[in-house]
Amino acid sequence: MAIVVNLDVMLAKRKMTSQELANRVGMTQANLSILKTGKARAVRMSTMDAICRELDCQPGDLFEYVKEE
Amino acid sequence: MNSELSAKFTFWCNRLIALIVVALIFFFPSLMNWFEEVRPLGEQKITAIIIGFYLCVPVVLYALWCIDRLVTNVLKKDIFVEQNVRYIRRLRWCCAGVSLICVPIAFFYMPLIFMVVIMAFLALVISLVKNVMAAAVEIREENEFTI
Repeated sequence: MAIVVNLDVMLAKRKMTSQELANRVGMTQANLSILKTGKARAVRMSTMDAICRELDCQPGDLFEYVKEE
Repeated sequence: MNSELSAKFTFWCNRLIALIVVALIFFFPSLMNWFEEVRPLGEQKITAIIIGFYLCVPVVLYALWCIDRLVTNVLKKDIFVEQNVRYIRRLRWCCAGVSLICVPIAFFYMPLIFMVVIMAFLALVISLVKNVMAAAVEIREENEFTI
């Protein structure tokens, strides 16, 4: 997919583990892993809101559009 | 609860039918000989029906195996999965196969034309069910991968 998820980068910047974020956001580690690996088909606004709140970032910091060759 | 009972009923009926089909492999010629005595059809028609039966048997057994797998998945609550779509698709081809096999046989024994039509229609219905199932699988995956 042309949408790249930069959640790992944001987690590293905030020095936070996936487990910690999952706990704070109230989602399972498995679901967070689906999001991180780019397997997710859609992201709920409420999930996005919670992630951005906990990571103190903008949705644009988490996702990036990369043109496919 | 009711649907589980229904699935279990289908499961055992399917196995019973498979058993009957397997038994018929051995007894079908004798059965047709008895039928010939009760209602004479002629050597040619009887031979055509027997050949048709033996040509259909592998397809029917494969279809019954597909139903068995399908019902087993339903009992395990694995309903909207890609594997079930594959089984339904194979079931459709089995119905179409039996319909096609019966076409030349129907030239010798006309009433088999009903079998041709019924199996072709069943293939169409199963094709529709397959499309519905494929759409359901897609919706489930979409739902499952919505975070």
